[in-house]
Amino acid sequence: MSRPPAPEHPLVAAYLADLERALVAADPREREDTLDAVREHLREALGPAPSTADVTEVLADLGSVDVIAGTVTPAGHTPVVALAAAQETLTAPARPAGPDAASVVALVAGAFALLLVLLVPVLAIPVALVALVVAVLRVRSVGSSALAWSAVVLSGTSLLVAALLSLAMLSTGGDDEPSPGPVHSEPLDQG
Amino acid sequence: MAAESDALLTQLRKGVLEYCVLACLRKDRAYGLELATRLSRYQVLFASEGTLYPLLSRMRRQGWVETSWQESTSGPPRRYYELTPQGRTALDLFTRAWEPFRQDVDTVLEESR
Repeated sequence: MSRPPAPEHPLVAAYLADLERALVAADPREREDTLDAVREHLREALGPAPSTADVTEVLADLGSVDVIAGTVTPAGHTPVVALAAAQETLTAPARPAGPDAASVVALVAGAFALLLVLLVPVLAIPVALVALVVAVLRVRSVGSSALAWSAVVLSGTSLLVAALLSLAMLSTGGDDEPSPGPVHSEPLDQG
Repeated sequence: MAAESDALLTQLRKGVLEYCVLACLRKDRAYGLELATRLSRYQVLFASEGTLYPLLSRMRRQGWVETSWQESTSGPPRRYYELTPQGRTALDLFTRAWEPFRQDVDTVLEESR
């Protein structure tokens, strides 16, 4: 069943040589796949002994080698299939999966600040302030993220409560001067 | 003007052509020339048959298409392309997104007349 391959028509040989040159800067695997597939396409379309007219027509349908080369992925780039936004893992560079780490830290710091409010309100203020700043920065950079917004709300609340409690403690602390108690005079023991 | 038109079509095809290739494989697998012939009926969408092959290479690497060899009575074995389950999912997503997208574009263009 196996026969020696028919000699290539000179126009086919020239086209394939041009295509190989045009693909020199392409991703290697895409280059090899494309060249193999185009050779196969030509074999199927032309048969063993095509006329020059048939070859010309098939090559015209294949298109210019520059147009084909214009659609390949350059070497060193990860191939991208368009409209892969619906399936995020398909785009490169890969975005990190899972929760936004900075927002998680801000959320935890905000919760810690709220705890500190109950123990040492004054200390809670700087913790809540840092948590709030980090959370606001994350909201501005990642946009509408439930995690980042939760961190903003929690740290903001902690800061407000801590500030109010600290102010209350400071103002009641001024009135808490120990006032002298009533003077008791003990009668001298006469005896 | 022709060059600008070609450049515009190239951009428009970029988001769409691979899904049309997937659609051509939805019902049945096909070998390269067969697929190129099916698509060549749509000249605006697919002006150059050769551009099919880099696309198929990328879709194979993406896991949307897989290939198999089959002996041919008319010559060397043929490489057949067929959709994978991920390819079917990708095509379904596109199909759902396309109709409202197309309607919006048509509406915007119509209203701006």
